[in-house]
Amino acid sequence: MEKMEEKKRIVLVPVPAQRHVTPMMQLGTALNMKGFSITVVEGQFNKVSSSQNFPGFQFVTIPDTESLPESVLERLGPVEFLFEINKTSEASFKDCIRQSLLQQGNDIACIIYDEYMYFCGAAAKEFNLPSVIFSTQSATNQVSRCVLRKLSAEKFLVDMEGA
Amino acid sequence: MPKTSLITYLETIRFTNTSFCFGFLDPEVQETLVENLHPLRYKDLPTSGVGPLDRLFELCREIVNKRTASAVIINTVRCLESSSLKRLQHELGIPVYALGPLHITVSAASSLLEEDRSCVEWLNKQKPRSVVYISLGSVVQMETKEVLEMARGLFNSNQPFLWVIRPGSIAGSEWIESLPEEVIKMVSERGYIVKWAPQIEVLGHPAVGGFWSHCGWNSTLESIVEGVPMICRPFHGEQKLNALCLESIWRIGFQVQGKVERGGVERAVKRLIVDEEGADMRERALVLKENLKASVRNGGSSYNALEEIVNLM
Repeated sequence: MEKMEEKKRIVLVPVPAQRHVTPMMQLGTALNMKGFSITVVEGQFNKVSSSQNFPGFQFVTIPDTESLPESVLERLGPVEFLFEINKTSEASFKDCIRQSLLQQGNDIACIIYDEYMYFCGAAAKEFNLPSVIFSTQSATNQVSRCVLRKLSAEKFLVDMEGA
Repeated sequence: MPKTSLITYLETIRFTNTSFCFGFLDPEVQETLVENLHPLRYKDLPTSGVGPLDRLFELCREIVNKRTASAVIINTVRCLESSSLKRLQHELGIPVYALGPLHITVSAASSLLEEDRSCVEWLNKQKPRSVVYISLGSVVQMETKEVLEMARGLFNSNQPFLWVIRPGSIAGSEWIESLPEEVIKMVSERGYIVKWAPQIEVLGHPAVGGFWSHCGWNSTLESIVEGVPMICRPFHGEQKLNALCLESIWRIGFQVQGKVERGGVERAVKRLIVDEEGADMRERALVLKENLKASVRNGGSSYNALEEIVNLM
């Protein structure tokens, strides 16, 4: 408990889409009930804060973070869209954390970010803050990803030529 | 139950099948089992419809990269995915906490779409376990032609149905204005259409007997928690994995594949709501429901995981 009084703020970084926001906000609520105060970082689109269901939660909007409109998603497709979001958000998220640390003191216990928002890792490292990854999908899906990451399309092509 | 057979010897997986790259177009390869990943088939790997494979693999590497993270939290339950969780912890080398289903631990309303509660009134008038609830989630789009086949099949099944049609989810249509008037009339005779439903409340309603779903993970968990068996209509990636688990591992649902046509829709609804097979699925779903509810109670696996996370912080 003493430790919690020192550092009791948890920063949540959800993916701004219904299926990701819902469980992230549930996690935030569960941790809030355990005594943590919650800061939710969001972009310009699909704002959770407009739902007004989270009294006591702090919402921080970042100009660039997660701010790509859905038309970009349609144009780029999901994979390139995620690369783009992570590329454009890294610096502005660092700024956000830097400001928060200046204004509210060093009270961040942890940054919990959606697995797709991996740009948060850089800020956690730079400011030496603990971080935890949150997945809103099944464990089996994550394991499949562990399989896929070890593959290379190029190698397939080579294999095929050799076959 | 073949729960532990799904994920074994992952690191030894080799894609010796040389037609893998363009194999997604080849129906024969699609049905092929992935080596050492029974019952996973190639078509179940979450790769379809996402563009060039090399970029997908790269993204997987970024997502799986734990960076300086000290743990991973997953909205799942140990009794549903124990072998995958063990495997994941081994792969990542940091603690993996399963603390789902979060929606039973807390009710946090965060719907970005407005829920139409009038459907609960409608459900109140239906017989127990007679209604099929249809929702394809917050993203999927359908063609008008498919929607018409769905409508006719649902009508022909003779079962009442509650159908979520999101504005914009029918291609080229604001909402349902592209559907002919006689179809709307037919649908409203036996069914009820809403733009978005209070899903947890709907699934928990005694009138609901089955869920026609895209099998997104949230919907999957919500259905299991209410003990509702499912008709699985996954569209891509992880939804297909979830559908596979529902069908082959937990055995509380079945997949409807291929083109949507009225005969198939009618058969699927009857199979789930009327047939003996559907009743068996419901029984298994009710067992899982109890297991999931126990996991978030004092001393349960998800309850304990949350305590551990709080201590970690």
